[in-house]
Amino acid sequence: MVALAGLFLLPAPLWAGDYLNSAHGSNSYGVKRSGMTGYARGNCAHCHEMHASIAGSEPLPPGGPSPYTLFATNFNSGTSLPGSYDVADNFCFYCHSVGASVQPVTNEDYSETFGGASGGVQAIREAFNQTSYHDLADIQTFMTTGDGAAMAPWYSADSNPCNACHNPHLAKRNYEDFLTPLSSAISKPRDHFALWGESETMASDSYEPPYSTYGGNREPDGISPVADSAKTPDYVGFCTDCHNVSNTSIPSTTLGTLREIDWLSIGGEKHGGGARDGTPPNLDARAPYATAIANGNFVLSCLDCHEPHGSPNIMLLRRRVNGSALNATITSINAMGALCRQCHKDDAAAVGGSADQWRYVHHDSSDAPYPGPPVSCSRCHNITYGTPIQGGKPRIYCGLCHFHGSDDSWMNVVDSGLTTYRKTF
Amino acid sequence: MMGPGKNALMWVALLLGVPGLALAKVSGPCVDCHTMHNSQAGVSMAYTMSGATKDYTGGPNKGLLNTDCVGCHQGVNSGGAVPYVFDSGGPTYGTDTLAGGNFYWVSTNDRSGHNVVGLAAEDFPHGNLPPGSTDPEPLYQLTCAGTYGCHGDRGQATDYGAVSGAHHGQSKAENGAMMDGSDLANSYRMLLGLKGIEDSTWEKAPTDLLHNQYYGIDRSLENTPTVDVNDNPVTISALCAECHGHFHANVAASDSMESPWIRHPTDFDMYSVKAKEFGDYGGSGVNAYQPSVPLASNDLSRGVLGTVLTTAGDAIVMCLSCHRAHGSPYGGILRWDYKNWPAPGVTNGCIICHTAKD
Repeated sequence: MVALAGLFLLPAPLWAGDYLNSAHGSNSYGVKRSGMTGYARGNCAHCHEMHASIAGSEPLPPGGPSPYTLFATNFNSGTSLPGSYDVADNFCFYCHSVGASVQPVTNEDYSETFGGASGGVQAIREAFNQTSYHDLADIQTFMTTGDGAAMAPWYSADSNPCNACHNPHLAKRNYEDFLTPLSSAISKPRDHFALWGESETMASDSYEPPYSTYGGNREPDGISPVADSAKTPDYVGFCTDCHNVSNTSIPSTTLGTLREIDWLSIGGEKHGGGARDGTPPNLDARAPYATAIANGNFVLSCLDCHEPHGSPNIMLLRRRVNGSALNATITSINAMGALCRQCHKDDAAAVGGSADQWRYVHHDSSDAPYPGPPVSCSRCHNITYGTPIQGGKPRIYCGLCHFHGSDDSWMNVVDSGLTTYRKTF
Repeated sequence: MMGPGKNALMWVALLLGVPGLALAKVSGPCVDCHTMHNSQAGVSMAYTMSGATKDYTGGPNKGLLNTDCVGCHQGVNSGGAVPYVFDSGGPTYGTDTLAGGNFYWVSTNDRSGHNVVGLAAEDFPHGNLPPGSTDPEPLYQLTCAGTYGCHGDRGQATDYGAVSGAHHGQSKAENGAMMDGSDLANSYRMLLGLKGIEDSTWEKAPTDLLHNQYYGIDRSLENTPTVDVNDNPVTISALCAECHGHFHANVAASDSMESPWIRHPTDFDMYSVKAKEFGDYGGSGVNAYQPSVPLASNDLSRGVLGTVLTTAGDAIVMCLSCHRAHGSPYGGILRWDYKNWPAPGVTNGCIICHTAKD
């Protein structure tokens, strides 16, 4: 009888919808605030207090009323310190921190979750508290007063910058399901109320999944050597929602205004839609790119090189790429070889020379831009443009040529006759 | 509106115990409700209730009444003329309970109802201080009516005085018309000053077409939405706010009545946000009124609404959208088993409005 009454009082239960299928709404592993006894896992009350209190009292953690009926302030934009965020700086950190008192949640970085790494940070807050990070205050600025404001009118000054990329009522545990459709944790800022990447995959972008273990299994599942680009959400489509050529003034406290990125157009960057130099098997690249010929032109996923939250390297660069760990921590844009050599042949890989030396691809390869090499090495290889290295000429700063949207036009200051204007990224 | 002359006549009739003279909402022999001398064949007639037992030892009741609010309104609802708000035997929620729910549950759990004198002890741990109160703790426990109650004239100290005459008053509700709050007999459910349209069966078995029509306003249009009491304090939620003030007035992060909310809004029109998930209340493109999650209207001349979100003011969220007024089997006097959701078979009324959160 009670059951019948229940059916009469409310429409038939829906089991399960978008929220209940989300990481937060799951009754198996969803939200569960430690101070909220008696509430089912996944219940709204673990994050929201409808009357800024529960049963007339303030449950842990303490704090007054907060926007969106959250149990704590969404984001303390005025006091948070990028790179050293406290739990109270961001509502999400109450759970997504190591040892969180509310509900500790383990989240490893992309390199570990999908790239085969180990030994990295174990929670989101800790990911942000590394050398480089997706500065939350910068995101807040972009979304409220920058180009993002027009993109995402749903975003308010009281929103959480994490929500620029994630919809907490939809986001799923993305490491669980590599079947179709995928489980996605992300929502485009421009389309916050839908998940992105469940049916939108890198398969549409001539994508070659890198190794999770070099020469073995592939990303993102790390369990199969078969390259399946449909297992990776379309991170290019996602990231370029903000990082494109239309948003010309993305602020960065660390870097200044970020460079525009033209990733997918044919005339764009060659790691993206722009034509690559060379063709397999004569491509000065390592596996799998050296031998993968199915794709007419490789389009890399942003997350092939970058972490989304933070990294021990600069520029959010991953600590493990294409199946092996970087051999050094990258601390300068002028010493990026540790990253590049994960996919490109350095002299060690090309001709048995030194690791992280790049003479072959710059001077000796069949499509080298500066073949020969040109006479008078020191015009370029000097300490004005490079770093002295033991036993050789100064190594030219990587950052002179290689960055988003770059070519080698800096060489005009040396000798415009040497400049190729070839895309260098 | 009842004139003073007619009012006086009614009192005379009441005192004389003459059936049939009262312009009665209540009908029938006076003896059904009154005892002239608290004596019949030498036996006391006036009583109060102690659980399911009548206690005749307390002497006469005021107004020559046989019993008090609890005594009259205690029983099992089976479709009769008297609404029973307390069933000491334990009602079946949704089957023999009414719009306000039932006080049975607060008699077993403080969290499941309003702690009304005679039905439950003072709340623990809150005592007599209502959650969300903007005032000091009241001196006395909540009563059905009067100064410390919800019903009747709160200028009167006692239950009896507060509702005196109202059961005999000519009510517009007898014709299915709106209660305009002009006097107690014409106030929604004898909640003095409140407007509304009363379902004749007290929502014993409501449908989208047969239900109470609560009155609400869109406070985002008010001049001072963050002040405790409405500019127009005749809504059901404004009544709740008289005790639970913060829950009504202090709901927005800013001084305006708009998102982001710091508390769930009440007296807020979902029509203004129908482009969002709320526009699917009652089914996308259907918007049938859901008695399980009732909404108020700011225009009672439109009658009982079977469809909402058709015009501004017809889908106003109120306290009673989520809560019962008297008691429910669930904590917080909620209408549904919120705490145990999500789980298979457990319904959550939140998703009736928050349609994308299922």
